[in-house]
Amino acid sequence: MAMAGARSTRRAFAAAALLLGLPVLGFVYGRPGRLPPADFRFVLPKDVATLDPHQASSFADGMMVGALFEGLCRIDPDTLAPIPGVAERWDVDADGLGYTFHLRPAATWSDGTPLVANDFVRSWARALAPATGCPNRGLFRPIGDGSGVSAPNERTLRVRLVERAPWFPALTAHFAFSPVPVDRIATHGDAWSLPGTHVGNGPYRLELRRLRDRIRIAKNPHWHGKDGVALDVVDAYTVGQASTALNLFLTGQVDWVNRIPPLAITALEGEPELSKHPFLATNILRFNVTRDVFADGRVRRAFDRAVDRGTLCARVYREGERPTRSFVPAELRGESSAPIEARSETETREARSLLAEAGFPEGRGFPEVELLFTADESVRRVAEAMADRWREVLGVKVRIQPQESKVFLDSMRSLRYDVCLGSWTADFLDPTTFLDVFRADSSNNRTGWKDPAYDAMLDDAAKLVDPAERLALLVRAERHLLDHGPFAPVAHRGQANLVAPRVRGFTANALDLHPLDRLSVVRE
Amino acid sequence: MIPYLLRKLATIALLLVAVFTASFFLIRLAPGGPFDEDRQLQPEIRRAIESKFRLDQPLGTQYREYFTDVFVRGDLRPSFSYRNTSVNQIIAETFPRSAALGSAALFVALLLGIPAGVFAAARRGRAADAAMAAVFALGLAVPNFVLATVLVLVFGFWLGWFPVAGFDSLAHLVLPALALGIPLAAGAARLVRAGMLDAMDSAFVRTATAKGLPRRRVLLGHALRAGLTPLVTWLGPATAAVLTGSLVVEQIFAIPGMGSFFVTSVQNRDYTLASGVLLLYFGLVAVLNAAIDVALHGLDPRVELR
Repeated sequence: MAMAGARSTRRAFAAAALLLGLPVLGFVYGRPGRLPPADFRFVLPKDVATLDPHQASSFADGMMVGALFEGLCRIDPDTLAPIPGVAERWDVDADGLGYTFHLRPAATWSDGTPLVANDFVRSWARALAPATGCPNRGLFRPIGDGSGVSAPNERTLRVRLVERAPWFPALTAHFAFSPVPVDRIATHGDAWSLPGTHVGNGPYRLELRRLRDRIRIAKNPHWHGKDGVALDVVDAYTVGQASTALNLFLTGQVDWVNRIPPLAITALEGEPELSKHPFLATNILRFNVTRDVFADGRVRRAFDRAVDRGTLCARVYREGERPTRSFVPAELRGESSAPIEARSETETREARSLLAEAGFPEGRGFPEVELLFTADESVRRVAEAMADRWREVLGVKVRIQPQESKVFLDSMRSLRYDVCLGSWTADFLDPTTFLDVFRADSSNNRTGWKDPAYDAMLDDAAKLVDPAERLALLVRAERHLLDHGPFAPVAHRGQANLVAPRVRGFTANALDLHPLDRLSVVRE
Repeated sequence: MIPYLLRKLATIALLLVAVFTASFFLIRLAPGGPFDEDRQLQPEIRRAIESKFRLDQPLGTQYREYFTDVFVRGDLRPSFSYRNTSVNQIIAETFPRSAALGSAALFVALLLGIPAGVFAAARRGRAADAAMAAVFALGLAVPNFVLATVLVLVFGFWLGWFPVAGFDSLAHLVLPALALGIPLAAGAARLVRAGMLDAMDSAFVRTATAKGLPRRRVLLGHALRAGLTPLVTWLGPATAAVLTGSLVVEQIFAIPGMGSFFVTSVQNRDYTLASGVLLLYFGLVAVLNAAIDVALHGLDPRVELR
């Protein structure tokens, strides 16, 4: 009896050890480890997917790739003009098609090896090769198949464009145009972009990556501008939840947050930490022109005129959006942005008569249509406001339909929608960054709309040497697009940032560019 | 014991194959693919990426090759959303963090839950028992995110005792472990109370009392030991769930664990990562359940291993 008791006690202990042993092991192995503190900490809304400039696509990717690499030019965050990067200066041929970039003699990779002009030739060839899968390959349009890119010597890069692109120097500042260490990639394969093997040529180099937690970068001692870099170690935290990011900011654990919960923006209005500024992006509505009702331009214009942009910007959007009736932000047409008249009775009347002309007076006989959008609380409020307004002004029935992001993108790509909410963000400072979206062969068009006359205007503009003539033609092309196109511009976006008072050198700008090497902190 | 373990092993293998197969086909049925982006990829780029991830082959071939990689080579393949990183690496890095948090939560649950359950059972039918019942119900009813928010507000902002989020030190684990552990403690306490009450009505406890053993020894030595059975049964799935992470708690406290992957991998249509975390989760549940069977057998040899 005593024996049996002892055995069962032993078994019970063994069982308890089994049950608790795993958690104890888990705790010991997975517990948080301390890192020395960074000089500057900021929040990325999602994990960086890759630090390979030719695979990067999200804001988070671009932010980090931008710190680890440098293109021929950089963008000045104050003026948004191209300034020297790897190239110390550049010349343009008289025909506007040829560019000569003169590289800094001191240009090096972050491992200390020299960076030469041929590195750019090989890097761009890699970006253009379909097998690389570069999501930003479309931006390389001005250099065609890349055959016009050559390196006459180690310090000179010659680029012969296939079509005129006055923004080309600025385009070389885009992270997709960064040089990549091609030989190293050949040796290490895809793993080259991970800590330990990563080599770049920017102000910072990669120290460590903790998945779902942070990327730590440190000053690159081989960068030509290293003496001007104030922050030695920078942590980029991944924090998916905007409210968590806000908590971290409010308790001083991070210095910069750029996605803020809408309610907090309202609550923090007027605080010195909150900066709101215009952002070169436009919120739009897409109409699927392969649907019978929206094949009729009058119906599209009726829906466009009925949108109450003023109320949307005043009550629904939160980040300082401005109502607009144009796609291209005024800044890119060389004008200052004038606010449009908020709401006009003429527009409402026009909307009603357009719909009547199209055969649906007061919405009679108009089929119920669906307004598609990505499932998100703040987007839903926009969709609701629009559907209500269309019901009220046009007398049509609009069902709002949220879809999970990947489903939404799939529906849009395969034209399974009636109307949908979208937006477009500038890649560079030229009207074509917007206007190219609705070219017939653009993968971002996603409306079924094709207009040879529109494409021809853009092609003709690319042939013009005189900037004023070119701009005038682009303005005409946009007018054509607004009158006949498959979309309605709603608002130019705003961007809100929360920046700790100890941070210096943070400039609000329309591209929301914040190069880390320009920032510094004051010790309190 | 050995035949039992062999049988169990075969069952677990079958379960994993079923989970693998179901996840393989279900996620591919969902509309939208892993490479649908805000900025639509050029068609030839899309094809190149799909071929790199071997999504261009016929479904049958894809299934066969992927099956071989997973079950023969133990290779869960590269993730679609974390480029150049394999699912094995992702799990190896994030699972221990979830497990650390889960373990801490489990200790909170047992440390609070068992004594509370014993206390309530000992005061059966009295006011204290009723009060405890109300507390347990509250602990179970309050959603995780509400509890987490209250903890952040009180201990993070008002008292400033603990960091509000992040994963830099042990102090960072306190609030998330409480947020995850308190509801578990309430559940555990109810099970302990019920188990003990059952045991207290049984013949061997009445005998022990009749023999004149002190009440404390009857309660803790006899009733508690027998009464732990329901708790131990519950521990298997609870441990598996808590070790693999909690979406809500990990998001609110920015814990870099694998809990979020159960949702984000599906949202991103990251086929390989989704299959990987599901296999780990079901494997863990199955193994822990087998461990529980063995433990119950240890607690009470009348429980047979089947």
